[in-house]
Amino acid sequence: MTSIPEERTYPPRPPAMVRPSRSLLWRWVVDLIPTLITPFIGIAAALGLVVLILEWQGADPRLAWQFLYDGTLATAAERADLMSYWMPLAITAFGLVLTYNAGLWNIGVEGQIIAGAIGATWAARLFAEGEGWRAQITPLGHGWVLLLCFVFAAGAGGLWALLVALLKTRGGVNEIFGGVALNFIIQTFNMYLVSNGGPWQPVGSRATETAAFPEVARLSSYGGFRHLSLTPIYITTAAFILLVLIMYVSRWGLQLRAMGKNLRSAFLLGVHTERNVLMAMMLCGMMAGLAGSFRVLGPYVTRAKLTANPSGGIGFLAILVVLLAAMSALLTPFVSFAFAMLSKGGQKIESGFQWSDPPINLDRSLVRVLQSGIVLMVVLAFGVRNRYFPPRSAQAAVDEDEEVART
Amino acid sequence: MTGLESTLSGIIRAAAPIVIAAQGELITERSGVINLSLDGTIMLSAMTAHAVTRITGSLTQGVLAAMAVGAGMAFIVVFSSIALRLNQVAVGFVLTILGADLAIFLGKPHFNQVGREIPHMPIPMLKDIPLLGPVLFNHNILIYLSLILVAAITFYIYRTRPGLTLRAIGEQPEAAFVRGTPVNVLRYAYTMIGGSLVGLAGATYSLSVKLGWREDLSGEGWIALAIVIFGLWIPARVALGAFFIVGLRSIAIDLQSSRVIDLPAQIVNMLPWFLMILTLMVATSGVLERVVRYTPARFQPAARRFLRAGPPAALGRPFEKH
Repeated sequence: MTSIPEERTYPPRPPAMVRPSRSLLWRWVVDLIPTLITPFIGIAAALGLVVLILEWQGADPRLAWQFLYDGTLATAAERADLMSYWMPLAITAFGLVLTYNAGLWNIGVEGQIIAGAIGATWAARLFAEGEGWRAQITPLGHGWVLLLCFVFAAGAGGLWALLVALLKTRGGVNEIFGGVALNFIIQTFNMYLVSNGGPWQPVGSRATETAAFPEVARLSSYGGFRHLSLTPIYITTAAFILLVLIMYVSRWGLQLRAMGKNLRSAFLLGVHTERNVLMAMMLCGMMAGLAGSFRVLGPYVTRAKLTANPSGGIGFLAILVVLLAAMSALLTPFVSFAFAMLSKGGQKIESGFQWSDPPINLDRSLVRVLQSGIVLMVVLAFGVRNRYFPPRSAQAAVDEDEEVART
Repeated sequence: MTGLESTLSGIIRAAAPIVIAAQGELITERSGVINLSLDGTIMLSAMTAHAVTRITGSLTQGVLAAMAVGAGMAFIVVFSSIALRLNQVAVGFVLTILGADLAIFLGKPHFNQVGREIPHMPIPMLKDIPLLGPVLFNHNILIYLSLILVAAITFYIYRTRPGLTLRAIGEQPEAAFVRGTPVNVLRYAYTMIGGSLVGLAGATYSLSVKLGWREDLSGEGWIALAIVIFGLWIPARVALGAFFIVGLRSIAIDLQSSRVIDLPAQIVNMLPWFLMILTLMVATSGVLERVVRYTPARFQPAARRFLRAGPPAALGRPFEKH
């Protein structure tokens, strides 16, 4: 056996400095700073890209910003409109926080929103409209009809989500593919209902939509604003409180997170994984269904109907929101607000530049590019940070591992 | 052309982009990477092919640009997976949405505009063979390519040494690495080759199958992704799956338009998605297992090869050197 020669240096090294150990809280704060900065780098990158596109199209980015502000926050009416757009998006994102923390890629949420819209329309036709048999036997009051609409919407959305979940747990169909397929199926079904003499299209009408619902099946408007109603705000707030309780207080939320980290370990540790998958998906579907009902129940007559595209793409938008919020329940309201602002401001940006001098054709899909661009850039920015500038606590853990491996 | 011939020839034609995209995704997944961005990539590359062809007037440049777009999208997926260790599914999904949005935004000036078409190119002698001639040899070069691709990839994966390495990095990257294979370099390469094939599929849509740019391609990429699973990662089966789905779709449309069955058009549109769910359920359930068990002993090995195969063992799992 050869003995390892001792390391000799001259002059001899001073003994290793023992750094005074700072409190855990301080280290946590220091770690937090880059975590807070990183998303802004991503957002700046995406914004830079959009500014380049704007310059290339000959549009002034400051003007675009002005239009965005005008179209969303400038007047009370715009703010009310923004609120009515934000609520369905937010409640859908709340539902998705549950499934994403459980590691479930609920892409079918778009279809669940449409299912909810169809469910709400069905209830409205059944209980409020003249030809519905229920309405003729027992005329119901406003509150009861709305309640039934919400119950039907949540039920339809929940069942549609349950179908995806059952296909996953029992049928062996990955929830991504099951969800995509069911999205297309219900979109087509919705189209069948309202187009080309479908059962819900008014006789003689050429428009692909149902007739406007009667007053009794519409949300009541608030403060004289056409599209603003308080009921969705209450329901969404309740959903948020429920979500926070589940994620941060209940044991079930912990189980969902465990499933998201490692499904098999969670199962081996006694978590009822299949039941939880079904429940999380169903809860998410119910929230998405409610979102669908918010989008078809008015309050103003032009929006109180089932159209060819009742979700308006807010399902996929909500997925982007949850990805950007890093699945955090507390960040979701803010991120969904920002995205609602962009979506709504996009229309104003398009119309604003059309009437500017000289007119510039700038399609509103630009804001959708910005939204998905931001999510991509932020995800990549976090990737770069965790890979090349790892947080200190993670670095310490790695060092410790190496220490253990060496001895 | 008889009715049967035109139907079959139409299926070959309509299935070509799905075949090409699915073969591209197959190579990608065989190397152990999932590229979920197919739907967006097909839309963006279809728009690119149409736009570049309109601007430059050159079909070749249009096709090459579409392939470059596909390779670029694939690069983002593989780079974020290997270099940044991000979730492939998350990045792929965001790219799906971003690709579709970009295609719609950048494609606005070219929306519904007349574009150029890949010239029809019947193969001289072969096109006169009864039945086979009109069905297989009376198309344009991209459609032929979709068929050649299936044979070429089958040969490459199962009969050549690099093909063996490709399978190895998807099944056992550690073992391949110990044998001296640069696993991650090859994963970059195969994912980008696969991505460029997906781009080619987009070009096939806008330059031939669904001429022009009309924003109605959403869904095709998802079908291609599902067909790779349905085909159990075997090139020939993947192609058969594409013909099967597209065939049923076109037969249903034919029946409906000829009033043999009186269904609303929407029911027909739902059909491929029902089939997709059904076939995925069958492909992952024990039914195929049972079929293999009850086949006569003589055919069992062949049946097993055709019906039973799993996903590449290291699919979606990033490889790290220790």
